[in-house]
Amino acid sequence: MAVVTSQLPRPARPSRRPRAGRGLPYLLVLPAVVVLAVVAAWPVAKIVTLAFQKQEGGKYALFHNGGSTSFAGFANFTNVLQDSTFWSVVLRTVLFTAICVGASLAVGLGVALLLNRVSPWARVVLIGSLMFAWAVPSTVSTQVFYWLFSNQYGVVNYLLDKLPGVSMQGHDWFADPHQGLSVVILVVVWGAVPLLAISLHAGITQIPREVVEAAYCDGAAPVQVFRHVLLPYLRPLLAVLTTLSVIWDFGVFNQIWFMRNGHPEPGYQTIGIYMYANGIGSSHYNLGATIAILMMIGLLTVVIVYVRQLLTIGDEA
Amino acid sequence: MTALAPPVTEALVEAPAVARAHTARRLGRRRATWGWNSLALFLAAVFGFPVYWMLITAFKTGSDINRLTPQFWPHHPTLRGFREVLSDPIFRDDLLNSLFVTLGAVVISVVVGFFAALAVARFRFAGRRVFVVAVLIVQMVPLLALTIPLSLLLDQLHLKNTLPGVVLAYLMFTTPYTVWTLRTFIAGIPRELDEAALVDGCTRGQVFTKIILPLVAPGLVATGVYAWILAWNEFVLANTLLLDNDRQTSMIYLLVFQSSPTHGADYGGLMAAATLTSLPVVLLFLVFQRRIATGLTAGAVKG
Repeated sequence: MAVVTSQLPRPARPSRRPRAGRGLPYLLVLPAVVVLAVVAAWPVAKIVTLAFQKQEGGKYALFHNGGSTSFAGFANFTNVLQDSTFWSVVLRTVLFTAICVGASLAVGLGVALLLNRVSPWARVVLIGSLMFAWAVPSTVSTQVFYWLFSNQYGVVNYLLDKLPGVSMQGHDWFADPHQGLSVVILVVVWGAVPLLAISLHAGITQIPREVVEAAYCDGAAPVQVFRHVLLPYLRPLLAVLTTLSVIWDFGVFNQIWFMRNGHPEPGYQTIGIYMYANGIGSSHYNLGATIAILMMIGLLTVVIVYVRQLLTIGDEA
Repeated sequence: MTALAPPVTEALVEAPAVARAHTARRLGRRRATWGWNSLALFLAAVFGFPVYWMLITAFKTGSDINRLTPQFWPHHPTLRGFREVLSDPIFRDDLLNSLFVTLGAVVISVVVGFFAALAVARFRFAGRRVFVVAVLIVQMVPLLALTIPLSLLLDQLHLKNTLPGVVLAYLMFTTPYTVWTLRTFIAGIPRELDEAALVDGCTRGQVFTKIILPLVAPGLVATGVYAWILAWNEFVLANTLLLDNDRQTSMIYLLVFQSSPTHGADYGGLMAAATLTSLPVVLLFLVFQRRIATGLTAGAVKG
């Protein structure tokens, strides 16, 4: 078709485009702009104002016509930032996110390499199993893990008890938040690995065979091939997947909420849960909004690099 | 064989000694492949086990579930769990509510997102860059952070505690996703096709209906399916915005079921409800798996 185009005289586009083209794109983006203005821009503006306000009278007055508010300056921020609970929550969130991201990426990469090495039938079996793990909603998988780790009839305690020298009968995994959060991390990693493994596997298959073969011919060991050939090729993909994982794992909510039946104890609170429990649970909307802003600032500073990268792509097309 | 395998070049086989070494290596490789295959099967079992356990628990009788020595196969398969859940009118209502909310959010965000993506991918206009940046930033905003203002918003619009209100709130996370992903799909259609059609006398409307729409249809389906999964699995917003017992979504039903004293230890019923709730997304996932995988990373990886 391109050939035909080049043989024919070009259409009189300059005269056509301005007429048809000038208003059209604006008309096309208008619905999206309206939607985003209502459900994103307004709410963001609202939490910013809430964070700098103090609610006079009852806190529920915010619903029912707003009630009266007064400007509070940075009082909400100093309140939150001086709270030692907040800082322990932040520390827990950072650790939780780091462990989840690290573990999912490590296992995901390992599974991707394995997928590349096995026979086709084994690959089909493993991918099929990963697909199921990926498809199950996080709420459901959490309930399943809760049941797997149940203290009385849970199958995990039963299997661990079989190991020599281990006595796990009736062990309660959720009495100690550290153990409980480890189970949560398992759920998160279990749910995250399929996407990571499958995209990394796809990434590996796109590496030209000749490059890998040349490395082997030159006498490179498999570890060297991985470090000096595969990793450089996978770096952009790994960067994207790492950023997405950070965003997802930082915002983990369902897994913790469902694991604790909707009432996470203080030891289980990551920043999202903490914000929700304070802001919505106990209706301290101004404090909740303040925590939400701190949460967004924290996340955005981490992922800003990724945003920049995406922007250059958005500019090209 | 595989991209990672060291090359087996027959031309190199010259001396018998080399040939012997070669065969030995091949045998070693075969043994290694066997080892890796076993590892793959083991991992498949580990990753599949929770889903398997959910299914067999749903089919077990109450006394078989509560055994100190768990049964790895339902010896007395029963539909009791499914019957119990399906006969609960609240479960059926919540399923319908989930369906309504999800479908509403998907249809609106795919239509709105498609138009916006068309503008961004095919036109240069003032403000285009600002729009792209805005969409990206909204995509980065954690949904959790906006639960408070979104519930205030719906309260002011008198939509709090209503299903259309939840649909509106869901657009916050489905629309940026559809705009961004569909932009990638449309950008993948060569501009030359548009131009060739214009040369052949098509109007812009015809270019849209005869070229772009058919070519982007698979992309629309993939985007719609993934938006469906996002909306179906959403819990926090629904939990915040819907307050009545008879007007909730399936995800909330699961939590209420698990934490209610009457059902507390009824893992058979819970696993049956969990199975039924995940069915609509699991099926979609399995049917469209390849497209979802590419769609998810396409926007991010290209370029």
